[in-house]
Amino acid sequence: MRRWTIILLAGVALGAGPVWADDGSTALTFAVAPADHTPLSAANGGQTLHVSGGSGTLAVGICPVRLSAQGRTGQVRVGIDADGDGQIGQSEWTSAAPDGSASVEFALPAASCPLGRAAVTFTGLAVSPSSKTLTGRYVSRGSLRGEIAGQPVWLIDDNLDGRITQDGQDALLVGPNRWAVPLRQLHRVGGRLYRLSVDDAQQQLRYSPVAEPQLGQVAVPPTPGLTVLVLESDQGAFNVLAKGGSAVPAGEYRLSYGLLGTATQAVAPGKQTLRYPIRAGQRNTLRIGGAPELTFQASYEGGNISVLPKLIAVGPGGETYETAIQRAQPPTVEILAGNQPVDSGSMGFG
Amino acid sequence: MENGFVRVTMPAGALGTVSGTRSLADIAAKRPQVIGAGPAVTYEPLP
Repeated sequence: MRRWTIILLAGVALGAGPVWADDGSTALTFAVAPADHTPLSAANGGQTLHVSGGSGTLAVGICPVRLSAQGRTGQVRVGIDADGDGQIGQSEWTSAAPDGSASVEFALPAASCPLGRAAVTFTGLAVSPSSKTLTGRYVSRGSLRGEIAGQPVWLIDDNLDGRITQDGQDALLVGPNRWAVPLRQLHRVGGRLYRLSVDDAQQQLRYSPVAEPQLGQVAVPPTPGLTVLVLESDQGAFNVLAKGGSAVPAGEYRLSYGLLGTATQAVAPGKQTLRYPIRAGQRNTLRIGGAPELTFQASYEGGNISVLPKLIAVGPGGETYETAIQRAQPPTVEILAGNQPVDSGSMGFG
Repeated sequence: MENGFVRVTMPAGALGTVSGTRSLADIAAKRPQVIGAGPAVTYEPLP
């Protein structure tokens, strides 16, 4: 008894932090996730909203929610059946900011949609005065919050279907990061690799460290401005550019998304994005990033050259950099003979 | 034009400037623009 007391006091004297159990479970409670980016919202800012005639429904899995709009662009008010009583009462209206952004939280029937609640952030809300059509975009920020080894985690209902699944359709945010990764079974939390499991009732998250994981080191060619690169396999998902995050379990991975610079510019999978078999005990250098090229369509007939204004920056792994392109500035077109420019001009966007 | 190319260049935020070049022969023949070559992953043993 005396011996244990001495050890405990020594720990306190040395300033030792709290000791967390290696594995265990954490209770999950509904919360709005403080995420700036999730897999479904990183590339295009979220899902498209289009409600005709001033009212309609917001699709939330099998639990659609009544939605109405009033006002005009710059002064939009959104009404949502937040308490699930089938009516939109006076207290259920939210005024959007002048830029068309608004956040709402609302109830879901728990029997059909186990989360019981949802949270959505709208951007770019606008109302057509003539047709009363509401347009904009929205992202889901409803989540279940828990803790793993003292670190807060949010399981985000990224696909807004009222439930959390571990098939990559939802997302995991580990604080204090602002980027989420597709929710699978294997994730890195606080530098350790954990196996996660959400119970059927969506009330507990079980976690256990992976013993002796077979890891491969991932290397990404230097790419200007690239700050986040999330790769996903059927087993796990990781930001391989995170501090200490370049070692991932062996398996076949694909690009989920990436972020450039100010993080308003995204890297997204393209039509022919590569798959990356990661081998354990190896340095795995990916064909991705580096210096993306501009792809364009053109025709050359009868001595006339036409370049279509449909331009996409594509990397060597087939990844696209759509939002990085600065459409405010026109592209330059040059005609070359060998290496020598013989003609040049600017083109507008059609 | 023999040995002719079209190069399109534009600013791309954090990436700096991006450009793409296609030969007039490829454009006339409607051959697709190919980006990148080689294996998806290059492996090296860890030291």
